[in-house]
Amino acid sequence: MNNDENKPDSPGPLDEEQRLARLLRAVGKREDLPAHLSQSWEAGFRRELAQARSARRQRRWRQFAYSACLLVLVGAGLLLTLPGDNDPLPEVRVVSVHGNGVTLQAGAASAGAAALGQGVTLPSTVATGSDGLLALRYGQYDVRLNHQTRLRLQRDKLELLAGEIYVSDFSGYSYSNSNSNSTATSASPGNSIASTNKSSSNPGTATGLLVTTPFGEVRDVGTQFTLGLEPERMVARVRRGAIALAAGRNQYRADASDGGARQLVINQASEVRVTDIAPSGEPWQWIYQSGPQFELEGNTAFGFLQWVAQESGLQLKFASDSAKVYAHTTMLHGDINGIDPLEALQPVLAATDLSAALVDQRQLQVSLLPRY
Amino acid sequence: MSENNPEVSAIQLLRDRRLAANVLAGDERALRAFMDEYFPKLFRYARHRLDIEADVDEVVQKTLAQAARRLETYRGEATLLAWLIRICRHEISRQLAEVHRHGDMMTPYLNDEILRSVVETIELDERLQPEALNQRRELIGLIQFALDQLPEHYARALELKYIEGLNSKEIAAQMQTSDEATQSLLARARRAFREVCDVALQVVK
Repeated sequence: MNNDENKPDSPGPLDEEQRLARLLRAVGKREDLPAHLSQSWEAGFRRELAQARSARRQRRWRQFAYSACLLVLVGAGLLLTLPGDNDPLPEVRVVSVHGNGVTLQAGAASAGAAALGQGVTLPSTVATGSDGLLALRYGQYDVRLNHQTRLRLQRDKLELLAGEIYVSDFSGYSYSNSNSNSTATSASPGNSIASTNKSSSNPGTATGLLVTTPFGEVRDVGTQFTLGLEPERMVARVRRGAIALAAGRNQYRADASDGGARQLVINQASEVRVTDIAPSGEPWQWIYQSGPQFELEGNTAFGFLQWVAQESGLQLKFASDSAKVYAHTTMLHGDINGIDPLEALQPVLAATDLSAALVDQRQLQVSLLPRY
Repeated sequence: MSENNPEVSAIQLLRDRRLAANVLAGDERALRAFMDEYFPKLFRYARHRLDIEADVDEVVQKTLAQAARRLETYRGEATLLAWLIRICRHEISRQLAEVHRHGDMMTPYLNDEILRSVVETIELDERLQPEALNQRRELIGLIQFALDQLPEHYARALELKYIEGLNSKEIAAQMQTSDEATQSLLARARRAFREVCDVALQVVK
């Protein structure tokens, strides 16, 4: 609106109020809403509002239902696609290959030569020929294949199809990367290898590793054991901890927790025989031959002794704390050139002030030499 | 008024948002306030644009039905009255189109220069030609619509003062307030009326 006071002939405030009064008088009082319309409109408006509220509630409920369904579907999808905490995907990797004819077949793909360091997708089948030996890291397990063996690797179990395997739940020593007839390769990008976190790559820690065979299911209870399929029987040998065998409705247990070793034989009639055996010697010889060589150079005496005990199925024991401290602080040099772990003991420890002795074929006792 | 006074506008919009939300939530007091305030204003808005009372009834009923359905979409960008009027205007256009009538809702811009002529036009003898009478009727509707855009106590005070001829003490008695407060209220109402007249006319244009 214009500023009246800036105009020479513009009316003053009194005139403005007078004009306003005239205007309003001319316009007259605003018309009241007739009662019948008011009542009719009120009824209609209330009815429409009630319907609108109802529709709004239904719409919100549908949105909530859709959201809930979506959430359930997403959750189900995640459960189906991601490994759960109770069913972790173990890390599987080739740690040693010896001889020829060692193959790896991932899923439905064609079989190829297994290579040192190769990541293994699950499920896969590994096989060794007449002169082949293979060692795998399967979660926290050390799994080895003897000659003429076929093993199917699943995310939650191993299936022994033929031959003989060795399983140990301990892998606390160093591996050599200088294998004689293989070259190290990294895992291919498509490989579904789980995290290297130990706790998430440990299938069956709570209940033990499950190995299925034509003769029954074997589950370890913190142990080192071998399973061998022969034409008419299966031989299980355990030298640390225990294994449980389920054959049909029957349950058997072979316990080696006393430091000895047990052999369990089951035939096609499901007849089982358990006997005591030595924890080292001929039936176990192939195990250290199939594994990776120990890297002596730069390792400690403690690491070496631990490896010897592990590969030989012996309990490592130090005669004194001083001996243990010395073993931990003594660095080794050179190599052992594929010598049997027990045979390597003497020449390696000769360069140190430690000595080792076998006690009852079960224990490797390490002492500090007297002059020290 | 709202465009010229952002502070008042913000308060008004906040109040309107709350009112709409409370109506939606089923608050009976809010619903009563909504009906008491906006039903008469919608009636008058439609009444001055439609000749037949049945058309007014139909248009406002449709407007209110639309408003009830869309009230949850009201975000307070404009006042509730402006929002309702927009719906009502749309319904009037549809109504006029249905009966093949094209009411000319164009109204000259009202400012101080033409305010005097507006008053003169409204005060013209009723024995005028139909065209002039139509213009007079339209302007009356326009001014009443401007009054409807004021806070109700402003419009009521102006009506009591200038149409019914009550003095400030009588108005104070009717509105249950003091004489001083009434005089202050009238001053504010006059100022607001001039502002809202201007805005209202532009909106109708």
